Amino acid sequence: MPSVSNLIPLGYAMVRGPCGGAALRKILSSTCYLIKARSSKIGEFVVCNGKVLRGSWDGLEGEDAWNALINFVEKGEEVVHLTFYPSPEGAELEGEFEVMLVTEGETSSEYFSGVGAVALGKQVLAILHRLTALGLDVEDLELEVSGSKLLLKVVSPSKGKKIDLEKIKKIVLEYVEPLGIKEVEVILA
Amino acid sequence: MTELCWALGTIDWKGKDLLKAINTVRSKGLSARVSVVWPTLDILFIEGVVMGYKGDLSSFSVSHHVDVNVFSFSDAEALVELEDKDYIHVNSIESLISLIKEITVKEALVIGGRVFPILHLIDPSSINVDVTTWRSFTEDVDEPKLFFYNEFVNNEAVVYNIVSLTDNWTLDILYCRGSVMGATLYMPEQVETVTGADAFLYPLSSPGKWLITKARPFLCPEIKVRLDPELEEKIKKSEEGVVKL
Repeated sequence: MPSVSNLIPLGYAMVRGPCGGAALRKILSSTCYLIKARSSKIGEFVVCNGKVLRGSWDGLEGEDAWNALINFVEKGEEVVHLTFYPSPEGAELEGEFEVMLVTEGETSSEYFSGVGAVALGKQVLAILHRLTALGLDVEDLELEVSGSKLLLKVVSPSKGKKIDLEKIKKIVLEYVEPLGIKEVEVILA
Repeated sequence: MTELCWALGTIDWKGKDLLKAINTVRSKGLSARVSVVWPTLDILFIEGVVMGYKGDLSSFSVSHHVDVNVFSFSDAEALVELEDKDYIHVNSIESLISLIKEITVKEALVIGGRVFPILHLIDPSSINVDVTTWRSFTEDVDEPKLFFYNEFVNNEAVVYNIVSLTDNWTLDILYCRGSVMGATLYMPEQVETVTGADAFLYPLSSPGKWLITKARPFLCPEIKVRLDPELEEKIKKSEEGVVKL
């Protein structure tokens, strides 16, 4: 076992009971660490990428030692103090996999998948710029969405010139279709 | 036997403002425990996403006056803390916020004798809106004060995205029943955004053609908003506009 005295710990935790066993299993499967465990017994482990690279606990070695630690923690008779250090073996392994702390169900909550007013505003701004680029002089613009229908009123001094309303509809739809809009009506005033 | 899963973490931030602490953790995407000393409250975040809380949510009512520490976690520490069964799971910061009952505010917008309290509760751009009913329109705003007054008096729950086509700033607002729950101003060529009452300062003196998008938020927390007594005093002595402690 390498000496850890010259390493800066990355963290410290106290565990007792089944929650601690669950935490240790997750640490094994997703990260690289040198772990020092202390209670009435003392042990050291190097875990990385789902493997127990080295381990010692209660006279046992390797994976047996790791399993014994988990059993000891889960029994819950004592608090086990865990100190986490960078894994000496992990340095070159760490870049190979991503640490997945947040499960899919937790990140894909509504908060992330929904649409904010900023997104709506940006689409409207994009529409405005596209219409201007078409040569349409937009003095004022009003857009109203109801269900899957969108009504766009454009106040423009270009009124009277030959303007392709279908083309405008197509541009607008391009931007608002992802928002669930199926029908666009355009009024020039 | 009592189960125990507790991680120490490394102190990352120390201050007196709970909402600022939360916003720091969220914007940095930290795995951390936001810890209020008294009334005791711990909120657990993993990579900036709220996971749960334990303790007393009344901390939010004095959110500008609490001693709060942010302890950031290494991956192993986060995995241990996540196993702590005492945390009450919440799906999103919105669901945590919806559990808050009362907040004391120190900033307000005062127009036409009306006081609109301003909170730093949430970034309005993170609020989901109803995409089946929304409006967007351009308006020549000559008197921004009057514009905000009319909007706030005549609406219940709106998320605004306001872009000044004249001056190029963008102001996002979550407005709920008389109070601004959050406001953020983005100015051209400025990296830092401005939040809260300060976000109104520039737009209030920036008339011009505005593109205003209004949508219905899915979250408008039913929070009792109380004015800080010192703020009330200041409002009595102040002119109209932004008033803050």
